Amino acid sequence: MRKLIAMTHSFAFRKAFTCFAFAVAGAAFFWAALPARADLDIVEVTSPKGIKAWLVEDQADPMVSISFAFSGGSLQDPKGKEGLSHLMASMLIEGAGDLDADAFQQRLYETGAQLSFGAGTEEFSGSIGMLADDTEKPLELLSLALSSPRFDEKSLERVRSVAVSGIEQTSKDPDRRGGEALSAALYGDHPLGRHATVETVNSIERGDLVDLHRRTLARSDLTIGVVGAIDPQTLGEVLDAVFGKLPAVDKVAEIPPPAVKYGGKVFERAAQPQSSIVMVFPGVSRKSEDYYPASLAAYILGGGMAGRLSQELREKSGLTYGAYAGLESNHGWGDLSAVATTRAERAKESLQMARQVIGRFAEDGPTREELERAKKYTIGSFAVDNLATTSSIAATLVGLQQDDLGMDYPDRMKELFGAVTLEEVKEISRRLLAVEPTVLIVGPDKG
Amino acid sequence: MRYYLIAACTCMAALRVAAVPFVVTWLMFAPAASAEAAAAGAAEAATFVLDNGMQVVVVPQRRVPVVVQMVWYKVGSADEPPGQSGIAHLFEHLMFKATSNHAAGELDEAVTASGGNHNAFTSFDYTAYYQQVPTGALGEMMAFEADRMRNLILSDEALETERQVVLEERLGSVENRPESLLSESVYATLFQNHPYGRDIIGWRHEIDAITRQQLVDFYNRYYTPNNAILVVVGDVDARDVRRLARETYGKIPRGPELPPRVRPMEPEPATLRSVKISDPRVSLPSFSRVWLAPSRFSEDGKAADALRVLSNILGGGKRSRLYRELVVNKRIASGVFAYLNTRMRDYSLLNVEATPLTADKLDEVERAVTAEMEKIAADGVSEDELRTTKKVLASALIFADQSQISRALEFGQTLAIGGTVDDVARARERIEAVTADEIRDAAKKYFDPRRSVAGYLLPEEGDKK
Repeated sequence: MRKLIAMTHSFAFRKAFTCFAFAVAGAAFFWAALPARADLDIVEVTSPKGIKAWLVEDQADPMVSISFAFSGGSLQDPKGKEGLSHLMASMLIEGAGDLDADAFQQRLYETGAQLSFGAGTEEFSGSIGMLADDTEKPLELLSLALSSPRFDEKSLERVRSVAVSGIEQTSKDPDRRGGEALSAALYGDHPLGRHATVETVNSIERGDLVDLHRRTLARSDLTIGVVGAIDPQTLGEVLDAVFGKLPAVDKVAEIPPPAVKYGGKVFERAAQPQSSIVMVFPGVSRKSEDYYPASLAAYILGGGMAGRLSQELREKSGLTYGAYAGLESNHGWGDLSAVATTRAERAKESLQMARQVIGRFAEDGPTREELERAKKYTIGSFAVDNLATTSSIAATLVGLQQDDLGMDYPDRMKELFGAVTLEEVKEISRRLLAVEPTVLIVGPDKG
Repeated sequence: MRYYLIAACTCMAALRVAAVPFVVTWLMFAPAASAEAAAAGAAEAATFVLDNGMQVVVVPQRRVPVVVQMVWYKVGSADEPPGQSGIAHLFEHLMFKATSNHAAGELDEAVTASGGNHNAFTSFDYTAYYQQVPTGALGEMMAFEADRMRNLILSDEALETERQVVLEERLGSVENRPESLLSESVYATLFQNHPYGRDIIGWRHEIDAITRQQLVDFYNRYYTPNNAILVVVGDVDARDVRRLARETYGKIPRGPELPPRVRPMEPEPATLRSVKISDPRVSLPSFSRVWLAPSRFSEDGKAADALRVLSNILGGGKRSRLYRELVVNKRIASGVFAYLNTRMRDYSLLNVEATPLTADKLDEVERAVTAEMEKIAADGVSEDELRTTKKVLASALIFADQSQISRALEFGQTLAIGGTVDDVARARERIEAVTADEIRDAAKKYFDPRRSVAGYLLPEEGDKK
């Protein structure tokens, strides 16, 4: 299911630090000038039926936002039925209980609330944003959608044909094709190496949706984050009303981590003036203790404008508009990837330069200054990146629970990243980047 | 779904706006995105003008200890001299180079050391630079931003490297993408006289020819406090921002007075125009049409409000007329939307786009879109539709208000295209005031096919048109 485009974008553009000459002389004065006033208080709410959620109550907020996630997602799609989880996400708003698709959607629309469902690789998630004084109807509809979706044949036929059309629409897109070929080369027959096709989507029937729904939407591996103008007691009632009818225990299959194949070469020929280069190295899982040094290493190598890749390929050479590296860490595995785009006739040169930069980093690791700056950035960016809106805070509350990070993680992360030593970063960089990566090139020639 | 280009950014990704998707290099807005985002609550905005003519807007928003600073310059691609297309955007890139006080990269270093992020974007009517940082770093950011307003060093070396970077950006965002090549050509065809017909990023041969002296002249003319707007949204109050602004921007002398921004306007269009591209990377055809409509602040601004509500009823999401008719009832399209872009100074643009479910349905999809639009021009919309749409738009405005960045964007855009702080506050009232009669009248007046250009994205073989 790996798509080149999505992957390229998943590397948030973050800029690192090149020289230590720090800011301006006047900075110290300004720095202390404005004290921070806001704060974030998380409480855990347990409903009468025992459903737990994390809440950040803010009665001044004009809205209430609820995010939730179940174990599940596209890795649960049976072989030959790839695309099933995504289809279920579309079908949950196609009617529930006594309401057919048209009636359900019209009622929801009239509330002004924003409801969405989505399938990741390891989770099936959803969110709803509502005006604080108008939550009753949207929550009723959410409860119906989760516990008694209709999966009507008529809706299914339409939703399936739209999904098939979407696959056909990008079937000749070089980045999409390249991304799929790369996944297949890396993950082989593991569910990560497969993707939805016209055939797999067309083979999905109502019974498949009913089965997936029964297996995954349950209370046992459900995480919930709530933000806005709602008090704990009311939330307790809401939790029971919305999630209380779901079965207690899910039947999500345990998917072992993939046996990833490195050292592969994938080429997707495309008659276009700019080529893309992707290199995939081993990464670490989110649960691994190596996560913290690996995450800092990836940032120093290719996080933003001052990352080593961007400095060499963009700032000094003008070879690219973007050259980045990023760590993707899932529950059981992870990848470290480097990506660059460049004019086709200089693809070879760019690939060589990127490999040199990465090779040097694998050998020597970062400097002490680079590491200190990466730590400062990573620690400081938590609030800026995750706590900007009602809905992003709700999503963050879900993420913290999924990764078992604890309510105090926003504070504790300062120690977790702060304690990483230069030796640890050097060691993990050596280990991950000394491996011959699997390389994808999309462009007119192999370079 | 494809997106319309409104701006070019210096860096990949970055600006995170609620409900606003990003496509590598261009700042794009989802069709359903909140155009007049920060309407509600705008009453709390404070505004004042520094002695040197720089306008300042402060919007306190105190949930987390984070603040956004944006500096908007009232210059964009539509202000470029003929033959120098792309200079506004190339210049935006160069603003990240060294100044007489700071080496290149020092701003980036300070922003990232705080945990913040920063970027810039160029559009038809404005160029803006922003940082989102923890509150304590705001003063430092203002000092950096004030410094590069006047102290940039434009070296030949920096220019030549950055020209290559921008050409790479053009390759990736336009030349590598058939849908972007089509869109570029649709705009060039729609605007027969107005500079909105030139792509924001500029034509390759003109980017290639921009000289250092032209950039110096551009800088001295437009990068002055009296041509700039400072917008600060977040964990601050107006008093603190006023003090910091005086200590930083306030020290910069006023620049030369600029003449009014009068651009060559469009003649009454008289022909039917369409643009096609066939490309081997396209497997299913798609159809789009862009209409010329009045801007929010023009004489016919009320029609722009009516068209905004209308575009939502017509093609704003799954309950819209087009979606229900083409995707659900007729089952001839996989997706369709209509969206009014009101973020331009001299015109608004109504975009309609549809992808047929299968290749053979292209003509039928186009006919069905036309039929739905004609129906509205003849019969108008129902009171029920109007009431519900207004409620949905009002809710979307409140949701968008939650994001510091979307609020800062709304104030900056409105002011940079000729509106006022009050106009931001009034955005919601204006939507509320739209009547069914106004919608029908606006549709009658503006849904003339001669006011539009159709674009066809086609597979290489089996050209269906």
